[in-house]
Amino acid sequence: MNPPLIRVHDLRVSFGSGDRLTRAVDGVSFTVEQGEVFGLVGESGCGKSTILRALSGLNPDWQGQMAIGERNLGHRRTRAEALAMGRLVQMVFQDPYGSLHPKHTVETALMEPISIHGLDQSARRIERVLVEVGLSPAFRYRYPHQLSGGQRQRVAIARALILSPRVLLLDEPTSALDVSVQAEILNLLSEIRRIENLTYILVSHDFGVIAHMCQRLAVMNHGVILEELTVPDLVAGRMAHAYTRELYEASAGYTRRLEETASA
Amino acid sequence: MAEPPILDVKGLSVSFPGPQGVVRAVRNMGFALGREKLGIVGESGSGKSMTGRAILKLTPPSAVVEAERLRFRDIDLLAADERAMRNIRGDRIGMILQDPKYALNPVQTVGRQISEAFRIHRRAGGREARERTLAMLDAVRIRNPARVFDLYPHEVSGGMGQRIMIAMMLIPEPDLLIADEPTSALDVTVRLSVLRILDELVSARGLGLIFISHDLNLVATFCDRVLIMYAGRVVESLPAAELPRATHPYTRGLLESLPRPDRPRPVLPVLTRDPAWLDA
Repeated sequence: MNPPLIRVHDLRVSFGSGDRLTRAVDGVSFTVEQGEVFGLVGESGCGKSTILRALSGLNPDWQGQMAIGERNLGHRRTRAEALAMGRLVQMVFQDPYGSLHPKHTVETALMEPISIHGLDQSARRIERVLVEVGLSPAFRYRYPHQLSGGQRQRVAIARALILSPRVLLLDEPTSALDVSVQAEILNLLSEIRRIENLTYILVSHDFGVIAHMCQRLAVMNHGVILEELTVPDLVAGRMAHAYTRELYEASAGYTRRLEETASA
Repeated sequence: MAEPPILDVKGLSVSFPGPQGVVRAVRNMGFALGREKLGIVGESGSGKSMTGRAILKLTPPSAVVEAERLRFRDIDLLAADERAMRNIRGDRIGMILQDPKYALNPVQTVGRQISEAFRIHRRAGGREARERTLAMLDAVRIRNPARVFDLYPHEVSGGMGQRIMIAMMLIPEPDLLIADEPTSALDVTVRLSVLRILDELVSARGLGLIFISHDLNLVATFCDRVLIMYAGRVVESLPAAELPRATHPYTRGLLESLPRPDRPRPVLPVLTRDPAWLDA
């Protein structure tokens, strides 16, 4: 059997120093298999996005070991290493309004990674990736403000895909979208994963999204992983931690918990 | 219903004249609200927030608001001028917005803001206002009211900030509360405790609550009655508990497109918008 594609061991990230030291990620270990969708769940400030930022290289200040495929991730990357990482891992952010440059057309946004990596056939690549995310090639001349929220998130996904990475890090990719648009984007992400044989780490606070997309998930609180479980175990209520149960039931709505508390 | 409604809305429209024609944000909206929790659900741009703002006459200056009837208790809001509205806002109709970070004054302590709300609307003295504020903070389950009274908004968490907003809105004892996505910025576990406080206070004080949200699950479980808005119109109105059995294709489409842990599907059904929903 092949070793897992993503291996994170004893990852630690802290901000500030002295009295103000915050351990955002405090010794986290997990592995993700090739082709798997791994969910990270938790409330704001639990460290789930910080893990993605460390993995993607956005935050070079971390301790521990991280590896993707054959590559051990270093702290200070040389330009060559950074370029190689860009072809391995890409990230999609929550807010498509914030992640695209407002004065760049779709084409300019997609062109940037192509020119940084010195790739050829840019026009063909842009056209292909736009079609792949379900947009007509004519969209290349549009500015972000001429796109709907769902179209913008499709462009952000296209930009992540254009270097043909093996791993996508998805940080709340649909929580800024309406539910009907969310369904379209989740379907698109499933379809792309199947076609491109991608591996995802999906950060979300929505158990519906996690259960729909993932095979396994880790529940985080205060910078540590409380437990790792499979989605069938989650749905069947086979969780080890009361906190996981609380989060899961809270996501279902209001009344049920109220009755439980009233009867307790 | 023997009691006349708290709020009676009929034929409400909000439109924005622009160079490319008139954008109609709210079209022919109508409902009557009693002592109940009424949910207004819809996607972004459906007109749900604009409806809430139109009731308080807080629409942008470029908006044209028309209605056959817009009555709050015995007051005709359509005829009320800005001066009259200032006496209604906060005093008789309160509004809770999504993010307490932006709704609270950052350079005033929490206690001062809440007691100011009381003093202005009740013309009370400082000591009485302070006592009432501490009691109100206690009512929204803030554990150490005397300590929180002297804190600044940046020193409290999001959940506590939203409870402070609720305290500030309830202290003048309004008849109607409009809550626009009051818990969307909060974590799920905090969300439940804030909703529980809102639920208890609304029931105990016999208020009417308009709860504006995009979250179908939440509205179905929290409210008594739900209006579903699409493109500025109410397409369906039903008791909240009946929401899973909604019949309008738009409501059905929204419900279907929600990923649910208990019903795994390889592909989520995508909503196909029927132009007929705009008018039918």
